[in-house]
Amino acid sequence: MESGNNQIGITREEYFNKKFFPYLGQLYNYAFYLSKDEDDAQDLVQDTFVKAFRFMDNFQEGTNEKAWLYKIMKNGFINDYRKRTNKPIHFSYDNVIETGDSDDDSPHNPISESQLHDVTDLFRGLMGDEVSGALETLPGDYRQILVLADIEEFSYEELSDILEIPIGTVRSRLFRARNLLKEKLRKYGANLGYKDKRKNERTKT
Amino acid sequence: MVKDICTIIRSQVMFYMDNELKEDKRLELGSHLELCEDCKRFYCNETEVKDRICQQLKEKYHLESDIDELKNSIQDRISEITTTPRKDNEV
Repeated sequence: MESGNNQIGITREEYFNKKFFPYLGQLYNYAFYLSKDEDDAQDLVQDTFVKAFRFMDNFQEGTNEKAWLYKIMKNGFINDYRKRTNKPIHFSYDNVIETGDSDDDSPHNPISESQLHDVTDLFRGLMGDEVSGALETLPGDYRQILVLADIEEFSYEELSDILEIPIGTVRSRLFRARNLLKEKLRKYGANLGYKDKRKNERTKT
Repeated sequence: MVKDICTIIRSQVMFYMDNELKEDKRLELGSHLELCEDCKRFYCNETEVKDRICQQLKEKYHLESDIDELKNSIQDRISEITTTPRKDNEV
């Protein structure tokens, strides 16, 4: 992309506004999720957009604007965290829990038979605070991919681009993240007294 | 005891829900769901759980703030940049 006028009669600034500002609200939500603070979220979004404008020449026309902005924000947040804590951020459980980069469609953990039973009753009474509370207890990589996939609704290809990981890792990480979240909610629900049908079915047999 | 084919099908259900299967696998899985009541029930349960979790998380993390002010602040900063030299050292 060239500096100055991008199309006849459109300045670089106007082009940027048209191309990237439609995602401002979504970026702000994601910034709030990352920072947990509205003021910090505003700073993070401002820095992201300013950086995007500054380096707009690096954006490849025809690729995904939204994913590009999210990648800048994610990297900006991580770099800022490093500066504040003076240590590298690393919350990946991939090497421990998964083997990682295979493009094989099959997840590495087969589903156990007990997981195949009806567990939806456990989730029907849960509220947003309970779900987000369970989300916060997950390893960082799992939280991140769940937020991007299930709140921001990115495709696997976009997630691969934003998180800078192979699609095979996107698949296996998301699979494990969702199962872990469900398992935590199931335990949480059971503690609150929600009935677990699976136990009843096992008792009957 | 769940049949092997059902175990394989259920391991792919998440990708089916996310519309991330190749066409041939998507059709194969769809055909199986039409024929197998247990797998169909599994799929329906998984879909409902996913939808409920997504809905709760979206409500929790959706900000109602007016972003016009934020937009103006960003545009002010960008206007400043256009009048100052660029530093091409990072993205």
